[in-house]
Amino acid sequence: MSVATRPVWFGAWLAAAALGLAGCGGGGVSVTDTASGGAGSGSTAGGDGQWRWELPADFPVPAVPADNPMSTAKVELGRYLFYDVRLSGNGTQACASCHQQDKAFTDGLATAIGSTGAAHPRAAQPLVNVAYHPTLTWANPSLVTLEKQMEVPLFGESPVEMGVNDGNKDAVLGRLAGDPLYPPLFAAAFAQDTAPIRWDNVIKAIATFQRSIVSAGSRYDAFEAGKGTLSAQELRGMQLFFGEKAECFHCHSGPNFNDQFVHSTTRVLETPFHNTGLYNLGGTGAYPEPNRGVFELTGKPQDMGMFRAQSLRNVELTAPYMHDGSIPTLEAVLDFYAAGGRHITSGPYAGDGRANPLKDNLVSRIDLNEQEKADIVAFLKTLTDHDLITNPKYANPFAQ
Amino acid sequence: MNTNKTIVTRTRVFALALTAAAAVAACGGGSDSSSDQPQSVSVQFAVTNGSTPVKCGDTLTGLGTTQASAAVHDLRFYITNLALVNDQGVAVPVTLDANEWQLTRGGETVSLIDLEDATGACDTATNTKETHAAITGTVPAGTYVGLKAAMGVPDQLNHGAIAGGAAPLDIAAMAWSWQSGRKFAKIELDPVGGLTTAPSVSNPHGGTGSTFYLHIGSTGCAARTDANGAAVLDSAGNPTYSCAAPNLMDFSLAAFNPSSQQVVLDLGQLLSGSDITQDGGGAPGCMSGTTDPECPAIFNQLQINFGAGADGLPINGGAAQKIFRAAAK
Repeated sequence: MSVATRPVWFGAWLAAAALGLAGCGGGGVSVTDTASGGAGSGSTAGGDGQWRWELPADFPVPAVPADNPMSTAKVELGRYLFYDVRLSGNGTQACASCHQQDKAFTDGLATAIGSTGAAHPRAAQPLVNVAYHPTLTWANPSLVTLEKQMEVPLFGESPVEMGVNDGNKDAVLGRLAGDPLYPPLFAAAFAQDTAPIRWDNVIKAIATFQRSIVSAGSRYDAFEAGKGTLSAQELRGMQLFFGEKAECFHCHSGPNFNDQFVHSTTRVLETPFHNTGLYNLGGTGAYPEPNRGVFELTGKPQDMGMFRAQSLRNVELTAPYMHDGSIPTLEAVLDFYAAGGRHITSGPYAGDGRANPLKDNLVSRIDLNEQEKADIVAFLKTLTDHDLITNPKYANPFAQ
Repeated sequence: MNTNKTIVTRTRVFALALTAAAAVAACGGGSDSSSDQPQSVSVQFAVTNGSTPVKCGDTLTGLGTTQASAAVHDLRFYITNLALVNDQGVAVPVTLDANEWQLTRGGETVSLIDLEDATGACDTATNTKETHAAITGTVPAGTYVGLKAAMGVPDQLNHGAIAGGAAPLDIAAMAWSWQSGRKFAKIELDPVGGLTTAPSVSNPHGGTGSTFYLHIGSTGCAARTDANGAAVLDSAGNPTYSCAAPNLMDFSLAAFNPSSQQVVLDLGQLLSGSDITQDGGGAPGCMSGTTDPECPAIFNQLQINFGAGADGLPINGGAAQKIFRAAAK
């Protein structure tokens, strides 16, 4: 088995792989046997028997679509597909090209580039703990399952991402069917299917792999579990983060450090979106096209600039920041929030975001000095899970 | 009404019928004895610019407010719940033949009309050689004088998966996944001289493009949730959706004879209030965005309530629409 184009970033995490599991200082792990019928976890049909969630302490069992239950065989097939460049129309790009393990499944770019070179208007999303997101992508209340979301990168035309279309979709499947690797993987993952190499199963398998990327093995988690320490600066940053001065926690809280979180026994779900004052074009409150947040979907004036708060887990690894990658560093992000928005004084995007009429009330000017900002940045870096970025469970199976 | 033809009981009509196998059989016994025999019907669709037939490879002229010229880039749309209207004024659903262009599910029908053949400016990676111009099926024997249908996909079928979805809802090019639905119509034109986007507040750079896109579909879609915020699932366990603006276009033709006539979508009429060489913002052309400046003129032609806060429903059943009409084959 070989793949024509090996992602160039592979060497980086291979070098780091020696750290392996030993690097995980995470909190306790709970094992949930979903075969016993946990709500929302579905049965184990469609594969090789039981799936056991190995979840960090305090992480609830994720919600899983009833027609796509978890299985180890599906996760394994999904991992191969996720890393296979043959899944793009022109054979140049895999899911992993824009979702790179060493960057917490982002790509390090301000905005992503598709397989045909088309520029994506927004930044690649991290995929860690994505099973807990009730809505997907940056600002879309209609995308609520990974299976549905995946149609966007696979089949999307504006922009082209993976570049699968009606003209090549059969040929792309043919590449998989023609490789001795895949028929047994599909057969194991979809045992009840007589002809399982189909697009719906490709999507189900990749979604299952994505749901398996559950991680909370950071130094912060170890500290919370009483199994590790934080430095004095990190502790000061944590106090500020969770305090009423910086108020970061209003939007970045809970197991995933965000404010949209769904699981198998969710009773009350909130899916807020926020305008953080990043833009205020010409003083009108507008954001630049085609990045106007939920407004792009709904056309409602009140949805201008509304985006989903990003999980801050591994935020050290996911620069540059914001939906359009327009803030390069964590330090600059802190400057942005301390100012209560972004004042762009010249150029085509000029406008005082601090005065955006739709800005969230919680994004207000904070009197943070340089030390305090540095403390918060130091705390944010304790949210990095170094096991995640080297864990073989999530790694490129073609790069042996 | 004097141009109407009945398709069952008058012998002279059968001479015109192209899909007359069942009709001929029904004819032999006279209308009374064959009244319980389903009648084959084929409803042909075509696209024109005024009275001029349109196909990929053509350069259209005299389009819109600037009398622009443009090449055809794509010509596809879904037709839902096609019915023939009988002489009692009752809309009788056409029972569709089962094929990869036509789907019947949950008491609703949808067909893809695909009039692009991947030639000329339609020769792109997302176009296909296959075409489908006629919806075929049966109706109960009777006297039919008109036609009623909608352009689009019924909501209960609109949001299912593309991959693995039932044909013809599995066409990747018709996916509109960002709204968790489908493009109801994908009509695209390449204006001669291109498309210029003037700088605006929200698009300060402006720009140029090659294609004026008409993508009609349901907008403002969100997953349905209950009072506790939990997703409302369908019987298969999949999310259900509600859309602020369904944007299904109802239309009816008071006089229509499927044997001698076809349903024509007139691009000239559709674009008659539009300048296809300029884009004022939003998507290039109209992708159904409620604040897109190119959309009001288009939706006026579709006769759908449109705009911020509008319900996206047909105006008076589309009674005043002029883009679909009956024309001789």
